Amino acid sequence: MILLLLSCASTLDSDALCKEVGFAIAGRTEECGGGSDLAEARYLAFEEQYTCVQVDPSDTAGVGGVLPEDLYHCPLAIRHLACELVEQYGDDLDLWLTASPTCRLLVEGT
Amino acid sequence: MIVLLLLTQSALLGEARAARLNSCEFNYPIAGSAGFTNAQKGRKTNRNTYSAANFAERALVDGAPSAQWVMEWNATLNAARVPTLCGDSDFLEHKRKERLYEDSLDLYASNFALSFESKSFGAFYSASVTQSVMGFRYAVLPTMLLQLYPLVSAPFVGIWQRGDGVSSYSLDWIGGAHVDTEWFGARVGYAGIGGAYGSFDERTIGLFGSTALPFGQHISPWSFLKAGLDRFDPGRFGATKVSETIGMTSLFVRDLPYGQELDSLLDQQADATTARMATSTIPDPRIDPSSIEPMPIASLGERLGDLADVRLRTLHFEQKSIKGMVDVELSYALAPKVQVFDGMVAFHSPGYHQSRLIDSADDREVEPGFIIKAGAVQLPSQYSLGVEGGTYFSARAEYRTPTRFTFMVLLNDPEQLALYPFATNAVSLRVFGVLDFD
Repeated sequence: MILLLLSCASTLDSDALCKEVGFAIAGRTEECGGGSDLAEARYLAFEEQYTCVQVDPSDTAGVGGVLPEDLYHCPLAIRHLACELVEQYGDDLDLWLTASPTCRLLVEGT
Repeated sequence: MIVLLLLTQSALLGEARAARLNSCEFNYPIAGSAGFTNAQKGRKTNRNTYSAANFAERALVDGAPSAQWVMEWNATLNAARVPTLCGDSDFLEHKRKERLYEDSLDLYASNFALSFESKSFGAFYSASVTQSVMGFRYAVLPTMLLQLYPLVSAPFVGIWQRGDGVSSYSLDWIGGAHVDTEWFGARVGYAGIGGAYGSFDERTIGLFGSTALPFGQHISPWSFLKAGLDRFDPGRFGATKVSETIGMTSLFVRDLPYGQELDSLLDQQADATTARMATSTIPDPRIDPSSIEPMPIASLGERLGDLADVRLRTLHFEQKSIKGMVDVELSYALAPKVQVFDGMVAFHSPGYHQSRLIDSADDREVEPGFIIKAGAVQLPSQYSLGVEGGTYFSARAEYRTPTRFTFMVLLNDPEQLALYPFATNAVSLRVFGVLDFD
């Protein structure tokens, strides 16, 4: 019974949305045959090159007029990039962030 | 027993009603997040792992009595954490007031198997219902008791598979014949989902193999494959003292699909279409909507090629019943990454493990008792799954009643984490029951 009482839901961290972008880059790299080592390297490069914009998940004003839930368009778009684009973008993460106009609302940096 | 089950169900449903008031009624998991992708993988893996063929391999005992009935219920709570949007207009009245939060995906499986035997020949039937549901565990857990009806009637109502986003319901069955002799046992069957099932075991040292071969277009040649040596007992060759000291040895390889399969890819194609549509609806003052070009979408064929060899292949070594009371288990992952996967030590009541090699009805008698297992599981970082990696404490407790019902609680169980590497700190509950009719 105690286990059933465990709460199902929890609060999202303020950097959760930004981390999703890195996870999506790693995920699409691996799916397109880049292998897990390259996926990991790109995630770590993402962490190093960009600073996360903190997003309050309950903020209905949103970021730049975009609601927090709509910011997930960035990782969604990255996860569906064609593999030829993934190959073309390579390690240039700035290019990856052109997949959606919302990507630049989630990170700061080069 | 039935009255007890109905009372339990009523009590849980009563709690479900109370819990509903504190949660979001219309929740929408958000595509694009690692949690959403993991949840999709999880529901497919759940269906494969607890498929009818897999359950028959695990549950039906060689040298079965004239009839045997086996039931199992599994629930893995918090298998994936999914970013979710609450669509209720009165969400501010809820105990949890955020519109955007993380919800849990729970995986459920109800399995049933039945076998009959006359002399050396017999027939068997096995069925499974697997579900994945976001939240609402108060309501879902009690309804698992009712899955007995589709499980029994699966060959008549047909196979069901339905998945929407991260939620799914799937019904699967297999049926076939088996032969048991002094030297070997074998099973062949038809899988309702479209394929063949086969297993073989020899009765001298304990070599075995089992597989399910799907018909039609599938990525992998088999749904699962398991082969090796199971519970080799030196006592069978007269080395009783050795047997009492070192116990029984198992060494086997297991191969399962890992992650996405064909229908998951189809889901992703649908998500891609959604993504393209959403592009034009997101207001961004810096972007002229007419300047947005359609996003190139990977073809299904391209993605099938990418995922053709995504398998979980593990090598297992187990030494059970050392001095009658201690087990040691090690496993090594061969694919998708080579690594030491887990190390566990268990303490159990004497006679808890049964020999696989059964000579007589007396050998089938199992002792009531318990087992407590603890150890560590090593998970590599897998950023593609949103997993940052590390070493996790793992524990498992089982209690088997004199009536052959077994209750289990598992935390970070290696078997579970092998299948769901993102399910860190998930808790699994399992009830397993056997009825023999001689």
